[in-house]
Amino acid sequence: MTNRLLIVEDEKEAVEVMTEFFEELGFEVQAANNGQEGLDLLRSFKPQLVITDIKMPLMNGEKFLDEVRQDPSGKSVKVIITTGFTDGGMTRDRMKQFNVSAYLEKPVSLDRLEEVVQHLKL
Amino acid sequence: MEYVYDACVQKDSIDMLAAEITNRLGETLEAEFVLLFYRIPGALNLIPISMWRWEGEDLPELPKDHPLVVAHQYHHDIFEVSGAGEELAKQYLTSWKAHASFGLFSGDEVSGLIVFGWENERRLNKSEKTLLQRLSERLSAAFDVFSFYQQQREVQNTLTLKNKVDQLTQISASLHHDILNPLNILSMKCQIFERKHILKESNGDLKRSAEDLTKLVLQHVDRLAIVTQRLGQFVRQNRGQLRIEGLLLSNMLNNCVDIIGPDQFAADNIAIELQLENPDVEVYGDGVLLEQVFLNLLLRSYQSIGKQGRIRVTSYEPDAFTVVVVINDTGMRQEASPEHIVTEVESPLKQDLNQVCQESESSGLNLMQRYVEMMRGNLEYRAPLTGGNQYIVTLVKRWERKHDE
Repeated sequence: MTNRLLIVEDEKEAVEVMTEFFEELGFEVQAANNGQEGLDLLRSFKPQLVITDIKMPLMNGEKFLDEVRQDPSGKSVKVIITTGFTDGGMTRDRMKQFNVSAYLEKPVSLDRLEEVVQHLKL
Repeated sequence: MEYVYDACVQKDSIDMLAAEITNRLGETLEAEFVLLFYRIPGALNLIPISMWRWEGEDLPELPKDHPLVVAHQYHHDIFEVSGAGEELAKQYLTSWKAHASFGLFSGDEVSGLIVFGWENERRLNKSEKTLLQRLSERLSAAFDVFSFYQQQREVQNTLTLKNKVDQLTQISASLHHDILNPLNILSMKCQIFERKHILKESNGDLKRSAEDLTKLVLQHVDRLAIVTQRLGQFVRQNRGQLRIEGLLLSNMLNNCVDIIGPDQFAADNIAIELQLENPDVEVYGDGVLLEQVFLNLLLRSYQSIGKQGRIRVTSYEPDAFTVVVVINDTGMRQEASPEHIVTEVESPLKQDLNQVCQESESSGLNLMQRYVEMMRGNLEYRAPLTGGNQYIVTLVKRWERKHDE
């Protein structure tokens, strides 16, 4: 069965590159450019993995993850955060609270990302 | 005395105030000399602001190590003199074999002492005592105004610094965002290109050129990423975005010494000693921020020594909740000029920590203090009379044991 990935990221080109990368790895990918859109897709697309940015318009990553974990379709979804250093205001405790699987700083190393995804055993 | 009050407001100068007061006191009380001291909040000693003598010879010279001489030398500087101001004044008078009367005044912020002296024993008459009382009240009021202006200036300085830092933070945040996102896209695109077209396909010279180009792009992406990370670090620190966690103090201090370079210390004949009371003690703090604080203080000590000296880092636990780290050096004492401190701003782009940074690009001590306070700690600077500098960093002790996590 093909794994489904939801990318939540406001940079369109970053979405395109990550989509290309994950499709090569055999994922079915859908993308949202803010947390609100991400929540809608979470319910309809039902991904196994979410990769999200933190700093986004309308609904930021922290609020998005808060909603994800409260939503029945998001309770067990694996989450990877990709973010810039200034957006990393989320504390370790918060990340633990949201059960975040990995936290990668931009610029993202694709080797590292692939390694993390393999480790998650989706 | 109304004039004194106005002079203080208009000239905003304590020296002018002192000159006016000493003149008037001398005329009215016919004292042979007048001494004026003031005490700033938190200071143990009184600071002499005016010593004036009518007619006769100049004041006799005091020994160079006399506390008052030292106090003069470091006027408006941070200094420590043991003993209360009244005692100092008495010592001063004793050294002249003079007689004196004292008047104390006390405002909200500044308190002080007026000393009237005569070479022969003399007591104040009733009207002189009344006058002294009135003058003390006037002085209190005048010093309150002075304190108010001092406070205003300090607030102004703080606001100016805060504005500068806020503006820099804003610019850095924009730069960070604007650079990092395209950099991320470029980096990922190159990595995909490398995976898809270089590693999988082989096409002789074209492959080598593509390999070289991709390597070059990724190399420069990494360089830019380091710069943007530093910008991000600066923004995060100044916005108070901390990652508080338990940090092993000994690791932190050893890392800082390693970053500056033990060889560099040795080359300049500077001995560095780390003597921690408890090498396993952990403190709560932001790793990046605390490292920057200790690096900054060690670099300050290093710079103040120049060649040949000693830096000693010790720690102790005064209670169950705090850890105190004391950095002592044998270097030149720092001037505590507020302007000097205020104009020093963080240099987020300073990369090579193996190079001793220049004064203009070093982080300000006040910023370090702010960082420590953000971690619920405290940073004090002292310049003991015995020489050298002393930085006292108080941090919150981590109370859980690691295996409890």
